[in-house]
Formats: sequence, structure tokens, C-alpha cells
Amino acid sequence: MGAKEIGARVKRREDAALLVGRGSYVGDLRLAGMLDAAFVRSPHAHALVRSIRAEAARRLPGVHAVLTLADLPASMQVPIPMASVIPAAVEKLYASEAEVTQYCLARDEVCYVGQTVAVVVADDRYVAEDAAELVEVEYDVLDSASDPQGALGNGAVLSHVRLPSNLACRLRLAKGDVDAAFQRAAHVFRESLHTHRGSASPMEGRGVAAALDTATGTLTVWSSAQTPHNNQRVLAELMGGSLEMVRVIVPDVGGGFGPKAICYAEEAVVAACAAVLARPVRWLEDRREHFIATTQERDQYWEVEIALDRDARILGVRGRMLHDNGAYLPLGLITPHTGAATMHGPYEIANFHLDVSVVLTNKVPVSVVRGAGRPEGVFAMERLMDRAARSLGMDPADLRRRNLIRPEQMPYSIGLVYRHGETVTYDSGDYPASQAKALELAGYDAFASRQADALRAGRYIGIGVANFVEGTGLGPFEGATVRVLPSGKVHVIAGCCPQGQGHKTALAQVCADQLGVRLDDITVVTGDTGAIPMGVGTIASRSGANAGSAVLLAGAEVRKRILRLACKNLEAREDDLELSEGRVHLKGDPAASVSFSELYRAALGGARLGGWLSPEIPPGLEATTYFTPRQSAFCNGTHVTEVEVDIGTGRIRIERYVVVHDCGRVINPLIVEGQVQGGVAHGVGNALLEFMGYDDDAQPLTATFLDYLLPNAACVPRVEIGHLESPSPINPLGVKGAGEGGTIGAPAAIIAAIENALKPFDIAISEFPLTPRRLIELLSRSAKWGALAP
Amino acid sequence: MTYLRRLPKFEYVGARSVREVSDLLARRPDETRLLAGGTDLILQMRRREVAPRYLVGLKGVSELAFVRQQEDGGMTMGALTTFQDIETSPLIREKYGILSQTASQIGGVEIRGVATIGGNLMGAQPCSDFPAPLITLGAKVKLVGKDGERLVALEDFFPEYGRTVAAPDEILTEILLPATSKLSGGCYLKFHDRHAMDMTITGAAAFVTLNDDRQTCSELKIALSSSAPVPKRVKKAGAFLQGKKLTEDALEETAALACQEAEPRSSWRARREFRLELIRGLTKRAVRQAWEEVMATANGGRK
Repeated sequence: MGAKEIGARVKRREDAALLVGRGSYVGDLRLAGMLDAAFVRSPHAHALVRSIRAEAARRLPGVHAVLTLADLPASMQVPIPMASVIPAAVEKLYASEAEVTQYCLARDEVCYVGQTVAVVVADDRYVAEDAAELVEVEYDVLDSASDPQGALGNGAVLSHVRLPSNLACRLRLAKGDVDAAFQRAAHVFRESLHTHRGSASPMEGRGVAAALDTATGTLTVWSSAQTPHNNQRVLAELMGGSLEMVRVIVPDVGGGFGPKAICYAEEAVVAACAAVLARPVRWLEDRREHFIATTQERDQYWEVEIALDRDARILGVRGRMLHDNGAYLPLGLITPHTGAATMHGPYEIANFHLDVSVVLTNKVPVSVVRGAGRPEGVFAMERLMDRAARSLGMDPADLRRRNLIRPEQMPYSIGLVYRHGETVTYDSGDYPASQAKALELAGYDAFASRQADALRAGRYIGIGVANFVEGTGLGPFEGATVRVLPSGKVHVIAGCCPQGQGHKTALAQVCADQLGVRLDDITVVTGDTGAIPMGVGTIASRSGANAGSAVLLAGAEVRKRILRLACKNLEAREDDLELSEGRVHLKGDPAASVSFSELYRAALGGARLGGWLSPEIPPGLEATTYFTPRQSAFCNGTHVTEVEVDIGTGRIRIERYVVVHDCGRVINPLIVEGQVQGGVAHGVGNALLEFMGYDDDAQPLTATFLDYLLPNAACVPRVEIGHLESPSPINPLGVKGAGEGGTIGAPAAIIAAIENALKPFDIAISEFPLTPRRLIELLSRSAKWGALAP
Repeated sequence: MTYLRRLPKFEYVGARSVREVSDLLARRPDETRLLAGGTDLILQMRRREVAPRYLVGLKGVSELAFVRQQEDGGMTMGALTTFQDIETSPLIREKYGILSQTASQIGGVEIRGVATIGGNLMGAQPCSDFPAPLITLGAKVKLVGKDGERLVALEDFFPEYGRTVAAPDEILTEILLPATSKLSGGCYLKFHDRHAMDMTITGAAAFVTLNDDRQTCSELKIALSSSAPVPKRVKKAGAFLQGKKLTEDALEETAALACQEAEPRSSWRARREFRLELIRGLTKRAVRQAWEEVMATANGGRK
């Protein structure tokens, strides 16, 4: 069987409908008798709830219910369970998980602005919001912890009244003897870095609708989510029912980017409202709520140093990282842990020691945003490399090249423990080739002379390089059903849950190669716990590797059954048969063929009653297969970017952007390129614009798109993309993952390029986002700047 | 923190004529706001900064949407002239290029399609972009109220932060621009963090008229956005170059004077120091660009 569709530049089959507004989102649902919910949220970053008076709200015409925690089912009056397990090796400084996870509605304490306090259900959203304003909540306002660095000192304000300190967890990633390595080092360089938090900002915010089937007691929940099976599990637990009493359906989703991977308070509360009122209930997040109630990411402080020998080879890296997880730990330590393990990157580092402290503050909780800690870890490592190169007077690309893991060393264990307790082993890849190709595409060798020419003309241009390795294809499994329909067309049902990734195209390509059917004859169903009972979801760049492999395996099984029946039908040997256009053909005899539709009837023992089948062959032409990877696959890539800085205003323009990306085998280059391009856009926002500010009282400062700047078309360069394909040995497709690589390397490369452009001023940049105001502040410290500003 | 929330409740009345608007406004001046493009007012309402009981919609008042050349060579435009009209009108592009240039730097096409010049002035926001270039052009505005109409120089239109001199019953109906010399031209430059569609952190407008020698300055007017509680004309800075040729030293001095006259504030968006740095840089660039363009067209005879 040849790969005809896999690797082809197939246009996304999803797009035609989405582009003309024929998508179907939670907001498009029309359920008979559906009510709308609105939430009463805490206006305070930290307070005790003294009383909630809802009489006036309940009296408003059109209001059906106002519920507080005490009005929810008893099973829901508990904190929402953490969505991941914290590895045993982590030191936890809290007594129980309940102290660091959030109640569906406030019990007695609220710990961030935006936390859910009560819910109003009414005829429509307008009435619901009017009523929400009538709910009187009496608060005792408490001091709040806003700055994570200040939150650890003696006498620091506590973010939670029940916690002994704001330090939630400590974890350590270490190997070798790092102190000895630093002692024998020829050079040691230090960096103090800060990466700032941002919002995921999908076009469609969260949304959930729930309806109870009163006859069966089954609850159906439509959710704009990434992990329907996880939500099903959490909802069933909170509703006090068994798993099969809840079905979660994820319709079209307008972007996820990480935060939709957990089950939120609002989902559980809406489900409870639907059950209590026995009417469908819906809640749609507005943008204000997205800014104050959907998880964010990237607030970290790094103190790190690197030891090099005389030949500029890395002897060791050590330091500590402070991670601000906001008010709770909804997703455990996935983000800080992933970021810490990603710092190692594509380099040979024999000795490594990083201590991570996870602190709680009174800000929106942190889960994951595209990259999940990795942009921060890569920023830390790449800033160290740039610092070392500059101090040694070396070309930063050359310093990196000397230290890259070589392809012949694969598979390569970096000896650090990853987020789920497994040791990181890079499965495949050619890191030197990645960097070399990116430098070549970017014209790196000729840049220095162009830079010198520009400088003579009073222009400041710079170039930056960043390498990364990204763990993708997270386990534990994903499943798929491949089913030939009576018409001969094919259904693929997968446990993954796209939010714009193009699964309905990519999975169809995988299936098409197995069965020899046209893409148009394949329908892909995703995001429905009723269609496939076990699943994980679409997070962590995992769907190609896991759902793709499951489709491959299930498709291969169905192919086997098709061939077995066709051998009988065409009186031929398997080797003489080929599958195409939904038929099985006898090679070399155009007249001899049989359609899938005919074979389907045969697979049922004939079209009428009274047929017989061999007991060893199951009826029908379908198979369900689960793929279970033994470990993550590791993709890698190199970003090279060129910028120009206006030193009078601090304006930064990205002139060129090159990404060489190795995500293993590429199923669809168009989709991968779209992911890289979009990922870079996200990274540009992180590097230059997106600033989720909080004041000293942990009140959000930038909770509108007027104040929180997303990159727009004028800011985002067209990315020049080079593909490398090092097949992964971890899964039968050989794919890794492509969803996050565009973001992961971007802040590091962009900041490096800006620093390089400003070489004449000798300033160091240790943070992102780097706004014009901040850049001018840094420049104004340079004695050489004032006279030169145009 | 103020958030964008759903709109508060209000009553909407669509007006058809200036007269009708005037009557509606006179009835409850304190509880009524006029709605033109809504790009400022709707945001203010969603932030609950204002919650008027009545909105008078101006969309149907077609007599306020015009751009007209005057016999004296000047121009008038109605208050409902949109940014897009200003950006694309051949008359404005030819005679008052600084205004088309300003329009092209504001928002995106959606905003420019609905935002109006009258709203931009009546909003009295220091970060509004049109007051500064219009002040350098010597613009006047016509106010119509229950006691008749009057003309006010735009330079005197903003007495303090967030206010205009218009009485509660007065409507801004049109903007009047004097004729410009063939030896004149202007430039408006603004800075914002994002490359487009973002709030102005600081803006500088310069309008220069050269003497017949086509070298020295007859008159230079400079005005700034978001650099003081009100749109600010910096007179000393403008006066400094009068009679002089364009040199780097003179430009530097002009910019330094502009910084002295400006009164920028610090906010989380930009500190005072940063705004001063921008005022310095943008003033120099705007004056240089305006001047060089006048010299180029004067000597190339394009205008």
C-alpha cells in the first residue's frame, strides 16, 4: 500500500463551511426551552464571602433560579478535581488537594477577580445579567498576593486563608554533579529572566449547554472543549452519577490553545442547573469573562547560569525558577514541569540542576497556553546561549552548533524526569541539520555585512536564532473506529477533539491510504463521548501521533477484512488485489472488481435473512483500535528571525521569519505550515505585545482587547518554512506533533534578534513581552543612546 | 479595573434633521447623548463611564454628511463625515493631505467606516487623533444651539480634560478649514504599541508654510495628541523655526521646546518619560517630513 494521501497538500475539508458561517458552535445550538445562565463573579482578588442575598434577583420576571454552592447537588459541593496527577517526587506544601483547587461556586473564600460566586438562570442572557447585578454579596475584603516574588517572603500576604504559605510545591530536575561542573568551568554566565503571562484568546470563548433526558436520566453536555472524555469524567463525578449517565459532545470549536483542556466550574454548574430545572441551560463566555475566568500562562522568574569549558562546550546548567500559578492548581504542575524539562533543549548537557518553586497568588489560575511552559524554558536556555556567545565574542549560531546532540546519538536520554514521571528520551531528529537549514534559508552568513551597512545608514537590524525540542504525542492512548458504511463510504470516529487543527482532513488522509477511498467518501467524527467511549482529547500536540496512529491501525484491520472477503469474491490471492476508489480490483484485469458496498453485504452474511458467516470472522467491515504510545515523541525546530528597531520610538518590525520544523512524518504539509504560521503569530504576541497586567491588589489591568494587544496582520510576518522529516519510532505513522513548535521558539528568537540589533548600545534583554515603552526604558540606560535617537 | 460589559439600557431616538436633534437635546440635555459612529460612546457606555437614558441617533441626519469646497479656497465638512470619507475624498487628499494621512492611521477599515469627525472632536479625548492636525490647519467648528449658531476656533475648543466649550444644548455641525498656501503642507505621525489598530500613545502634527524663497519658514504650527490633558498646540516650538531654514540643530531645539510645553501623564500604558521621548522624536519627524514634502512639491511644481 503506497502513501498517496499522507504527505499530500490537501486543502482542509473543514474550511468551506467555516468560512461561510456554516460552522456549528455551542452558540448555534437551539434546544427547545433552553435558558441562559449568567454568573455572579468576585470583584475582589481575595475576600471572604459573608452572605449572599438573592431575593431581589429571584423576583425579577424571567428568572428561573439563582443558585449558590449550597443549592447545588451535594456531590457538587466539593472542589473540582485536579485535571492531572502531581508526580510523587514533587514536594507538596499543602495538606490536601482541596486546598489548591476551586469550588464550583464560592464556598467561603474567593481567591481571584472573576471567581464564580453564584449563578442566575433566566429566559435570556439579558435578564440573567440584570438579575446577576441584583444578587447582593457581602464580602470581607482581604489583602491579596499579586507579585509572586513578594509572595514568598516572611510575612507575605497569604493568597488563601487556609494555606500556611503561598508556596504550593517544589520540584527538582537534576542529573550529574552540577556544582563540580561549575567548579571546573572556564566560563560561567548568569541570567535573571522574566516571562509574563497572557491569555489564550481564541476567537470563540468557552461555552457550554446541558440538557437532561428526563426519561433516562442521561445528561447531554455540549461544550467548547478540548478534552470531552475528561470533562465527562469530572462532570459525572460532580453530578454524583456514573460515567455513562453523561455524554459530552464538542461541536465546532473556534480555537482552544490549551485553556479549554480542563473542566471548569461553569460547565459543572450549567450541568447542575439543567438537572435541577429539568430544562436545557446554556452559558456562553464573553470576552470579559475570558480575561478574568479562563486560565492563562507564562508568569515565571528564572535565575539560571551556564558553565562552559575552554572550547565553549556546555559543562552544566543550574538555577531556579519561580512559577506563578495564580489562585489554584487546576492542571497540577503540567506547565512548570514541562517548561523546566524543555529547558534542556537540543544540547548535550551532562550536568543539570533546576529547582522549581510553584507559588500561588490571587490571579486567574494557570493551566496551559500553546507551548505549555516550553516557550519559557526555551527562552531561558537560549538567552543563556546568547549571553555566553556575546561575552565570548562568538557567533551565537556557532556556539549552539558545537553543543547540539548529533543524530547518531539518537535515541538520546537527557536523564531528566518529565511531567508524568517518565524519563525524557529524544526518539529521533537531526538537530544540526535543522539549525543549518534554518541559517541557510535565512541567509545568516551574509547578515553581518548587511547589518554593518544598515548601521552606517543609521538603521538597527538584528538577527536571532533559537532551537527547541518539544515533547509531543502525550499518552496514555487514543482510539479510533473505522467503519465501512452500507454505501461503501467510510466513517472514522476518533477520540481526539479538534479546535481548528484540521483533524477531519488529516485523519481522512490516513484512512484513505489504508482503504483506497476518496477523501470525499470519508466522514470523520470527533469530540463525542457517545461515539467512542474512551478517549483523551486534543492537547499537547498529540492527536496526529495518537489518533492518527489509531486510525492507521483500525484502517489496516478493516483493510484486512475487506481483502479477506474480496479474495473469496474475486477468487484471487491477496497479493493480486488492490484497493482504490472504494473498490477492490484484481491487478491487471480492469473488469474484475468488487465494491465495498457489495463486500459490506457479504460481511453481514448476505443481504437477506438466513445467511451464514464463518464464526472466526466478525460481521461487518469495521474495527476499533486504541493506540498506546510507550513514551512521548520529540519534535524539534529552529527559528531564525530578522528585525529592525526604531530606536527613537522603540517600534520593532519583524522583517523576516524562518522556521525549520521537524515534526516527524508530515501528514499534510499545508496543515503543518498553517500550524507553524499561526504558532509564530502567537509567539509574536507573547514576545512583543500581549501583556496581562495586574495591579498590586491583583486587579486585572488589561481585560479588554483595547488594552490587551493581540498581534494583527500588520505585526505578523509571513513565515518561511522548511520541513525536515525524522520519522518517530514511537508510533506506526512516524509522526510527532506540530501544534506548538511555531510558538515555542518565537519569543527566544525575536528577543535575541532585538538584542542583536541594539548591539551598539550594549543592552541586555531578559524578558518578554518587550513593548516599545520598555525598550525605550532599557535604551535610555545606555549612555550611547541619547545622541543617536533620530 | 473597568471592563467592557453589555450595554446599559437606554432609549434610542433616530433623528432626521439638525433641528430635530436640537429639539431632542434641549428637552433633557443632561440625560441625552448623541450617537454618531459610536466608536467612543459605545465603549464608554460598556465601561459604565456614561449611562445616558436617551441616545439620539444621527445616522439619518444626512445634512451633516458633506465635504464642500468654499469660494475663498477653504473647505467645510459636516460633522458626520467619516474617517473613511476623509481618507478617500479627492478634495481632502489634495488640499489637506494631513487629514487623509491622519485618517489612514486610525483603527481598521471597520472603525474608519463608521467613526465620524464630529464624534472625534466632541469626545474631547486627549488621545483622539484629529484635533491636533485640525488645530495646525487653523480649523474652526460651528456649534448650533437653541439660541443660534457660533464659530469657535478648534484651538480654543477644549478647555480642560474631557470637555469642550459646547453648551449642553449645542451640536457640532461642521468643521471649517481656511485655504492653504501652495507653499504649505502638513504631517501627522502617531505612535502606538501595535503596528495598527491601537490606542494612540502620542501623536504630533506639524503644518508648515514656507516663504517665497522656498527655503525659510513663514509659519509653523505644531500640535500634539495624548501629550496633555487636552489636544495641545505647542506655540513656542512652532514659533522657533519662523524665518529659519530647516537644520538638524533647529529641529532639535523645536522638539525640545515641544517637550517643555507638553504635559504628558504617566499611566500603565506609557510613562511620562516615554511619552516625552516620543514627543521629541515624532515632532522632529513630523516637521521634517512636512517641510521636505513642501520643498519637494514646490521645487518639483507638482502641487
